[in-house]
Amino acid sequence: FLFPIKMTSPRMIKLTSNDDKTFEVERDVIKQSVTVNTLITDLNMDDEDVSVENQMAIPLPNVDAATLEMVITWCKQHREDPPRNEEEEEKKEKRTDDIPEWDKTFLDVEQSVLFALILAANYMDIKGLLDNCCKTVANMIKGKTPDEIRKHFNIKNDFTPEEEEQIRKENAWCED
Amino acid sequence: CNDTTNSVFQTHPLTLEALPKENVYRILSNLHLHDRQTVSKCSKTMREAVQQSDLRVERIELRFGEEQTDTVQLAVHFCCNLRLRKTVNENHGEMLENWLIENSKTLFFRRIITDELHIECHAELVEESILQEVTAHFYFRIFVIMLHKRAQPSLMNFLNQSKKKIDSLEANYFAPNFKEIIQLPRMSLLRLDENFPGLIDEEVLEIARIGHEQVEIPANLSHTATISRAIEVVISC
Repeated sequence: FLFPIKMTSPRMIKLTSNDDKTFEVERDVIKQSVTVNTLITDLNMDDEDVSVENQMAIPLPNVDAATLEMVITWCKQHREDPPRNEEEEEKKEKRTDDIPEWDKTFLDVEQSVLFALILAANYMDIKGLLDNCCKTVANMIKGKTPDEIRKHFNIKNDFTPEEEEQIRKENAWCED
Repeated sequence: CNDTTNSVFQTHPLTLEALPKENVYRILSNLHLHDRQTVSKCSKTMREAVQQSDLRVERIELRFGEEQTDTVQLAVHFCCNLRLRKTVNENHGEMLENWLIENSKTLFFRRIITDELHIECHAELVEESILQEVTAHFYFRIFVIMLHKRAQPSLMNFLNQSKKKIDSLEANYFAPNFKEIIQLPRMSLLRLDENFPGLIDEEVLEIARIGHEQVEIPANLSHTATISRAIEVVISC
């Protein structure tokens, strides 16, 4: 006997950025966002037999289109990643030299873009992306002098000379 | 999800200082002491972020022998590696913690110390008599005793002095032909063995079990020598 095999296309979810651009993304891809995942579950969207055309788009008021596109690209790349165990992650040794090569290249962007990704990853609750973005910023800081960090991140030195001296004294115990 | 409007900083958006504090803390949590301190020198807002982040450190990173072998790491190396989780007296822990919070200006180190205090605090430590005793809880207890004894000079002074001592300890730690003989009270050795099985050579323990008041330990017995030397260094601080 031959049974007809029903080919089901992957379930798609619509997301709308804060500048009104709508993206269609596979359900399986966007599950990495805890925020979106929770919304889908809470709204019983998984149970609905609604075509993507008629589906309600999930609004993401804190994410612009350019950033959302990058977030989706990242989620697609990491769709096969095993689920994160946050407790285990917390126990792990903190290191910043373990960013995957693909992510390193992907996150080699202007600071403003990287910070926008951090905000988006934070809002959408995508821990893997958030972690790698934060590690990338940490790597930008490592080994730099205060002046270099200020220059790199456009930070204004608002210490008075007296305050700087005080800080120097406080840190003397652990500095050469 | 975290509150993205909860920024500690009121500067231009999409800068490091304008990120929500949770994110800034997350970035800082990837940095070791030296880089954290460097960041804290950049601006008042970054200094505040580092200090707040320090208080949230749940676990101290040990990368002994890698990029940094500074005083803190060395001190933490001893404290953490010798930590005991058996006897905790919360009241005294809290008392000491309060003292430290009042006296320590370096939050990162404060946290390290208070972490240890939660682990190992004893009612006796406020008794003068205990200051004479070197027990199996020796390193940390001595550390606490040192703080207790030095309540008036600031913790910073204590640390500045210890740094020199610990630096010399580090030199000895790696010295291959370190021949000094360290003397330890017998009971200390036995308690040490109880808490850190395998740390002390059996032949040394045998001598201690027989009942000599003082046990001579050849200092080149690796761990024992290091720890004993640590005691000596701290005592003589």
